[in-house]
Amino acid sequence: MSRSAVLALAALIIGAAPAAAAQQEGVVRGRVIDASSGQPVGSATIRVIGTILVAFADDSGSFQLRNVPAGQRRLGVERLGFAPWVADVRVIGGATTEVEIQLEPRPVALGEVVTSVTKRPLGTLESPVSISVMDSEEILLRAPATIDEAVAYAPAVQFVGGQFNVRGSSGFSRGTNSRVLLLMDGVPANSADAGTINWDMLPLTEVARIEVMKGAASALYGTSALGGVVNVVTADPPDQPRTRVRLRGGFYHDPPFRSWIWSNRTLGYSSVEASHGRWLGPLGFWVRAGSAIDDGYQENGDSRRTNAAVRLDLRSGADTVRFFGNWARERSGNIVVWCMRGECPDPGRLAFQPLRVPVGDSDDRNRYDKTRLHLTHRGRLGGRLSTFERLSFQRDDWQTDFGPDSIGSVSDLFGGELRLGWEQGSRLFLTLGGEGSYSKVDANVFGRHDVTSVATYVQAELGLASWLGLTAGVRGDIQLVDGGSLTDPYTSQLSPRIGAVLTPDRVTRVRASVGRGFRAPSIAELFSATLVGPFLVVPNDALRPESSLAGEVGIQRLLTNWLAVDVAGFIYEYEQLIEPDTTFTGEGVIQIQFGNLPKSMISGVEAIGRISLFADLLKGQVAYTYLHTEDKSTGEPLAYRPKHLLTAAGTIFLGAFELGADYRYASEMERVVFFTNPNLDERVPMRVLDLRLAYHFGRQAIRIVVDNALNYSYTTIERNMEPIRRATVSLDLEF
Amino acid sequence: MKKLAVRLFPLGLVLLCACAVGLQPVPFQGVSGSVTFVGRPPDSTDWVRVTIYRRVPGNTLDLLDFVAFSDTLLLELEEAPYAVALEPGAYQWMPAVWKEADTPLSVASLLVAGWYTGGAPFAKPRTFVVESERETRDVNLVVDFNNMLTADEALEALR
Repeated sequence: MSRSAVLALAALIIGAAPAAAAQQEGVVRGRVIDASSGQPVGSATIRVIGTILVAFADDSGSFQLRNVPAGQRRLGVERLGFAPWVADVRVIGGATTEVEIQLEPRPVALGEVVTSVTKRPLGTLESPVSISVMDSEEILLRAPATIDEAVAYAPAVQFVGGQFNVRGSSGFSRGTNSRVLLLMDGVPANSADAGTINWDMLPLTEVARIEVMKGAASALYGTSALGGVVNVVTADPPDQPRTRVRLRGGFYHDPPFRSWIWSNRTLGYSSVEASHGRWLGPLGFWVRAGSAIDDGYQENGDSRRTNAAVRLDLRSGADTVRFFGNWARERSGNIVVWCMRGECPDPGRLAFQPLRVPVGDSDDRNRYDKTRLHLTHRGRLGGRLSTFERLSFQRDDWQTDFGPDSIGSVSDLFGGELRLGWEQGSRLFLTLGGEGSYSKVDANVFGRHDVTSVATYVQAELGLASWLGLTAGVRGDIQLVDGGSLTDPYTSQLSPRIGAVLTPDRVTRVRASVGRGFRAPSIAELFSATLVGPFLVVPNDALRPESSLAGEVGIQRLLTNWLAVDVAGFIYEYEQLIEPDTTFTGEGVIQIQFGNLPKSMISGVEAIGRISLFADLLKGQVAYTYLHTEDKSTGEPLAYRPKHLLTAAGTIFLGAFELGADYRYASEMERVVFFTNPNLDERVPMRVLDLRLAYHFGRQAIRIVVDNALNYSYTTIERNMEPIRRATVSLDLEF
Repeated sequence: MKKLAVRLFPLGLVLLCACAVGLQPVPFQGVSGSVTFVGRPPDSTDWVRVTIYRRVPGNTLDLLDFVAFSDTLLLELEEAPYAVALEPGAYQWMPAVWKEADTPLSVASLLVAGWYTGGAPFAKPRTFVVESERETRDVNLVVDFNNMLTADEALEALR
């Protein structure tokens, strides 16, 4: 942003402040109902357009907006499955205005409300970047054990060896980094040592929605948001006391080939989760606890997980103070690779046994404890200025035992953020913020290190015309490892982004954005020094930050009343991309060192179609992504990226019954680097079909899900088998 | 168009699923059978393996010309299974080799504990054949821990 533009924005803020302070405020209260049935519509988002005021309808459809500036105001209401609703209301200072909002059902809805794109509520229709949203119903649809099992069905995403990829961003690095940033209610939550995402700690039953933003988002979020952002938004405390219990259990089928059977008992899993929430005067809260046991489908694949979470909201006028705490414990077997001939507990007949580990590895164990705490405050200063402050703490404490040896790490991260939002009528919204963090890592595998980061960002959202909106922002980051030096050119990063949304007609939106992303190397990438299984990891403290120039153009259009399409083209040009470099030592040991690729790229096309037929009896979605990746110095594709990704989902609604199927396809990885065995190339495409049946009775539901119904055997990385067929029954109770 | 979409969606799904041929076991091509133990393995045992030769060795140097060997045999029971992946062809000699613990791997640290004869441990060696993508089964041999031979003694017995 130019200096003159910054000065102009500053002048706007200073000039408008006295007027805002003098403005009177009122309350808007109302109810959202289904226009066709008269039934209340919960979870609708009600916004006062041109302000940051937002409310969510409770289960009875009721909502209340406080501190609404007096005068003629425009309300915007959005809810999945209904047409957006917009109407003007007259707000009287010091009084309450009652409204009734009747939403027209629309089988295929284009828009939902998200908070990750601009750090404030924004309709997906107004987003200049591609974003996928899953609400709580969709999350629980497939009876998942953890959030990642739900996210895996979002368009253009894939888990590669457990590592989350958005449009092929992360590839696979054996858990030493992530190019996707995890946010919990907008608060960064990747681990401090390796920057990885721990999906099992997320409070599954109390998640309101998951937002997957695609492409670089460093202009708001800094490092790690190079490939995308996943924002897990927890549910608000319920207006009426509510208790939820979720019971889940199931078993793994035998592997598809008799020679792969490794256990003569039925391998199963079970979990129980319970939560309770309510409001007590100005204090709203929910608490949740869960426990899960899983035998695993592979030898040494067993796990025990326990987690607990609490959210407290204290509201007073326009101020909301929120505390969120989350703790999770995992005890599990550790699997590095499956066994090959000579390593398997077999007389030697099997060339490989994909469900067993090498002899001697079957006692390797993991221990992982995770804690996330954050305290936030949202408030208003007058009618136009909003504030947000955040303090956060997280700890990751893990250890993996390999026979008599063990590796482990304890990392703490303290973070803080201060943000101001300023709205000038309905034409301009300005966000200005600063963020800082300090982390320290104590690990026998990485050594002792500390990282200090400070950042500041500014973003302007401009409504230039009814058909054109612009977003422009820039963020400056400074990150110092072990004290570092400010004179080092790689310690500071500037990440600008500009985006536009055009609305040529009522059913079409065109979006475009271009921005810079970056990611500083993780402590694990810089300093790992260990021998794990056949892998010897050597440090490279000369690693530089990686960066990208990311561009995207997309169009979203409602073609007919039953078919909506979204097509996007994207190109990400990377500099200094950090990828693993492998060397075979000749003694069965594979040496891994992370290095920078001078130039590389990922480009592609993403097409999503959503249908709804026969008065909502049949709903479906098909999403296809084409990826082209290239290391420009060698001309080879980037490792651990497929060329084609496809997800298809269909659900038939028959009264209280839901019958559905999901299909996920990914072409085989174009290139792998850890094992290049000429006698056994285990790369095959991913072809997974899941079947599901649900029965709803009141607010309860029972679900039966068969994952990988074809019992298809596949890998996403070498010598690691993905899950075989399993059948799950879950019972979701709500009182 | 609506009807077309309704018909194409399940059809496409069925077609995609029909092509699902994933990872499969590699057919075993080689020899397998069991090793029957006579006597108890000495306390100084490091390991016992089945070793495979194309031809019957004529001298000490030929002993190094083996094709493949099995995993370490399990010695806890009276009989142990083995399997060795091999290229197609005929194999004339398949001894069980015993190694002494805490000694470097050399001909001096090895003893021959028996070979495949179809009968007694040190009778005339019997040839077996491995065919392409087939498993040659029941190639069984006997190991006699009470009568193990040095390399020279084994070569002498084979003449």
